[in-house]
Amino acid sequence: MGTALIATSTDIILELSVRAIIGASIALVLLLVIGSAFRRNDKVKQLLFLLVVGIVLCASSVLFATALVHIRQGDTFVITGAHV
Amino acid sequence: MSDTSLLSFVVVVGIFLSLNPSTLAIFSALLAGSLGKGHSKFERHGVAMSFLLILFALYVTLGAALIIALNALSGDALKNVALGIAAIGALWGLIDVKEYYWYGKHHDISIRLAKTLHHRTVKKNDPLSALLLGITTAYAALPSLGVPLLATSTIIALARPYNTNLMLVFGAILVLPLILIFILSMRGLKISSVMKWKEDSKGTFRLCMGLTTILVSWVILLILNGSLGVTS
Repeated sequence: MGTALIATSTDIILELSVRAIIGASIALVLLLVIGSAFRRNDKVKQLLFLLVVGIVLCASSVLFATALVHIRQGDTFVITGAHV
Repeated sequence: MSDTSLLSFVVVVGIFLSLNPSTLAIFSALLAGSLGKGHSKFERHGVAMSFLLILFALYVTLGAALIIALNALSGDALKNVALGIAAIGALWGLIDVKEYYWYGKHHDISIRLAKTLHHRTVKKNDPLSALLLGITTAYAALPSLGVPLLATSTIIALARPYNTNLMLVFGAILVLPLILIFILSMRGLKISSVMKWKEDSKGTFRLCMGLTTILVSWVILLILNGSLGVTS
């Protein structure tokens, strides 16, 4: 006897989006709060800005990809795991 | 997102975007010019109100026009355009965040625009000139406010049914700090202290604007990927 966990693509998109947004927001706030103390140092400034760019681009890419999938395909069923 | 949460969202976004250093600088210069000319309280009211009204009207008209234009598109086309706007918004937000670290590097307003602003704030300080200054300010603020305005209009356009009246609230919030500065200046606040506050905080203002633009872009993407439904 085994049960397959079936989730709609909407569930996966929702979970991915929430994780991306929460993760990126926490990382951005931490970076900006900690980084404000080192704003005078040019090297640190460049590094902080690159990190901010990286985080924003990563989160935006995840959201962009999920939005594109949702627009193009609509709702599809995906097997996410199985208990045997 | 219900109608109340959409309204709250528009208000919060408006508050962060209203702290636009260029608009604050031009309005402070207009008030300082009005004081320097020795205008009476009534004349100062006339100059400031002309400026604020035209700026408000331009923001609302532009926003409402964008919403109507976006809604003229078919369902799929609107979604694809919104996707593009969200991508532009996220990149534009990063440019604003860059201003927090390196303010004013790599760009400056044109000499012609600076001369026009100086002429209308200091040399000619009357209601008609303030009206024209409002139009020039809306044009000057377009690089920093254009993309966030487009992104906010997109969110309102994606709501079913869409409500252009939200742009009235958004426009009012955008000019709110200027109204407050005007009221405080009439009650004796020194314009020099407003200018100093703006000068000291302009990097932070741009950071707020940048992060808000990125947030608005993310909300558009959340609506498009089905995580967030919008009604108004």
